Amino acid sequence: MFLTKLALRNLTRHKKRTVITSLVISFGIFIFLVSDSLMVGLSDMSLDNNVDLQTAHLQIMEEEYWANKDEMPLDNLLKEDNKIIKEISNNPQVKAYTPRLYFTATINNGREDYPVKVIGINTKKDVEVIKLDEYILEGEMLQEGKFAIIGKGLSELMDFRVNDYITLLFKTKEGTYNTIDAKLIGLLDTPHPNINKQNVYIPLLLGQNSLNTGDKVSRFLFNLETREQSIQLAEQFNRRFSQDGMSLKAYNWEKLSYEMLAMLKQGNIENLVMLFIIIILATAGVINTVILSALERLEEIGMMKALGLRAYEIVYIFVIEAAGIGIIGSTIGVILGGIGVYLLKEVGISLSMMTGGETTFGIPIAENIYGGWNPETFFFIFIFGILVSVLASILPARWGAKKDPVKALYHK
Amino acid sequence: MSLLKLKNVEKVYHQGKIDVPAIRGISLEIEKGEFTTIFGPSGSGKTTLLNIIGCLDKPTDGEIYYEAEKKLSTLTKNELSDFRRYNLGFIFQGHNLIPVLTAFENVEFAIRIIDGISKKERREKVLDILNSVGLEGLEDRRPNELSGGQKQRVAIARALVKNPKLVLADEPTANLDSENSQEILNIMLKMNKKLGTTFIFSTHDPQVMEYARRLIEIRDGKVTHDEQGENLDVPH
Repeated sequence: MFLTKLALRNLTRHKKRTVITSLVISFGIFIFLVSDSLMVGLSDMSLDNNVDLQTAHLQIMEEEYWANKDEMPLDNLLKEDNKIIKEISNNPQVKAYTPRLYFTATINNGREDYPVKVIGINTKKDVEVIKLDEYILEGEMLQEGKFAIIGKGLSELMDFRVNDYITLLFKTKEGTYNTIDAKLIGLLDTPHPNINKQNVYIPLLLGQNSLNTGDKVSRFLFNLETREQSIQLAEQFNRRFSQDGMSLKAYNWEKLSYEMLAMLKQGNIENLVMLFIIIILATAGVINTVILSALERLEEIGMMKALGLRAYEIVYIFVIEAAGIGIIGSTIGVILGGIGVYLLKEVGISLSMMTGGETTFGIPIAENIYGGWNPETFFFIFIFGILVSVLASILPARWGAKKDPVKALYHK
Repeated sequence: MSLLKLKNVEKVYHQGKIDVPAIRGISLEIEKGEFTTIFGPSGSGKTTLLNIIGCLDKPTDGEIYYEAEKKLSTLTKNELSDFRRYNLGFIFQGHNLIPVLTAFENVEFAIRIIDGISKKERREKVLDILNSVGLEGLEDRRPNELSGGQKQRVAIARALVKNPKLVLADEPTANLDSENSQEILNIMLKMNKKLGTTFIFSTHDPQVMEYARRLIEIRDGKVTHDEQGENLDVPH
C-alpha cells in the first residue's frame, strides 16, 4: 500500500511529463474510438442502405444466374408467374415479394452515351419491397407505359430533366440491338450513391417486351418481417428447392451483400492498425517516461535497495506509476472519445468531405455518415490503454531496479 | 562477542583490462555499541569498505561474519536485501530523501517495509525518533521545505527508526556547515548512547573524528592505524 502511495505521488514529480505521456495515450485512444464509431456507423448505414434499396432481405434466382449475376445476363431467367414462388411467399414471415428483370444498357442524351444498369420492376409490387417511392425528388413514381425514372446523379451527369425522353441502347435476348425511348417521369435521390448514378428503372413489361424475354424475370426479391429471418428462411427455401430437384436458390441478405461485408471487414483491419499505432505511441511514451524517471532517481533506487527493498518492489513502484499514467491517459482519451463519438452520432460527417469530393469508394452512403455507439469498445480501450502502459513499463523498470546499488548511489 | 568481523577482505575493480585494488586484505572486528570513524584521504577505500560492510557490494575475496555466526558472503541477493531491511541503517552524504514524501513518511518508509509493526506502533516510533533528532512539528514538511541540516536529521531518523544494530554513515556531514555538522554528530552520539546502536562512519573531516571512540585509518586499501579510547589522537 505504501509503495502504491509512493508510486502515485511520483506522478506529481514531473507534472508536465506525466501530462504529455498521458495525452499521447489519450490521443491514440480518441482516434481509435472515433474511428471505431465511424466504422460501426458506416457498417450499419451501408448495410441498411444496401438491403433497403438494393438487395431486399432475400432473393431467389437460378443458381447459374447467381454465378454471373454481375453481368446481368438474359439467360437462366425465371417465369414471372411462378408457382413455387407463389407458394413459398405464403410463408407468414414473408411480407411482400416482387419480380425484377436486370440488364445492362447505355443511356443516350443525343450527345453522349453512358453505361447504366436497367431494372424492370413491377410498378405495383416493387414498392412493397423496395421503397423507391419514398425517394422521389422530382416528378412521380414509375407507372406502366413507356416511362422511366433515374437517379439525381445520372440526371445531372447526362443533363436530363423530368419529362425529357431518354434512349436506352441494349442487346436483346437474341443478341440483336434494340432501343427503348422512354419519358422520364421521376428523379430519385436515395442515400445510395450507386442507385443515384447508375440505375434506370422501367416497367417490367416494357423491359420484357424490348428484350424479347417473354414473361421471364431475373430474380424475385423478398421483404421479410425482419432482416435476421432471412438466414433461416433462405435455408428453409433451399431445402424445399433441393427436395423438389429444382435449380432455384435463395440467398439471404448477407450473401447478397458479401462484397460490402468484405469491404467492411477491411475497415476492421484498419481498426487493428489503429490499435497497433496506440501500442506504439503508448509504449514509446511510457518507456521514455520510465527510463527518464529511473535515470533521475538512481540515487533513490540505491537508497531503497540499501533500505532493503527487493528489485521486484522497485519494479512495482515504476509499474504502478505507469499504470497511473495509463489510467489518466485512458480516462482523458475515453472522455474525449465519448465527446467525439457523440458529435459523430448527432452531427455526422460527410463521406465526400472525408474522401475529398467525387468518390465514395463504392460505399453505399450518399448522405452524412453517423457514428455508431459501442460501449464495449470504450471499456476495452480503457483497459487496453492501462495494460499497454503497464506492460511497456516492465522492462525499463527492471532495468532501473536491477542497477547495482553502489553504482546507483554514487552514479554522479 | 563482536558484531562484525572482517577477515582478509579484498576488493578489486576491473576497469577494462586493468585491475584496480580498492581494499587489500583488511581484517577488522567491530564490537556492539562502538562509535567508529574510518578516515583516510580520498580514494583510500573508505566508501568501498562501508559498502562491503553494508552488503551493498561484495568483496572479491575474504569473509564477513555478522554476530559471529552469519557468513554474509553465502547470502543470496534477496537474503542480503532482507538482512539490510532488518539489521542495517544507512546515512548518505546526500540525504537521499524522497521528495514527494513528507519527513514523517520518509522516516516511516524504513519500517513500512518491515512486517509485524502496527500502524499505531509505527506512528509512535516515527514521532519519537523525529523528536529525538529535533524535528518535532516538522513532520508534515516535504524535503524541499527543510534546510540541509534538517534533511540530514530526517535521514538519520530514517536510519534509526527500525532500531538497527548497525548504522553506516558515509561522510554524513560533508554537505553541512560546521554548526549543523556538530548538531548531527551530537545526535548520532546521543543515539549511540541511548539505543546502544553501533555506528561506523567514514570521513576525512577532523571535526568529525573528534567525536569518534575508535579511529581506523585507511590508506591505499589497507588499515594503517586503529586506535580506541576517550581521548584519541585525532590527525589534523
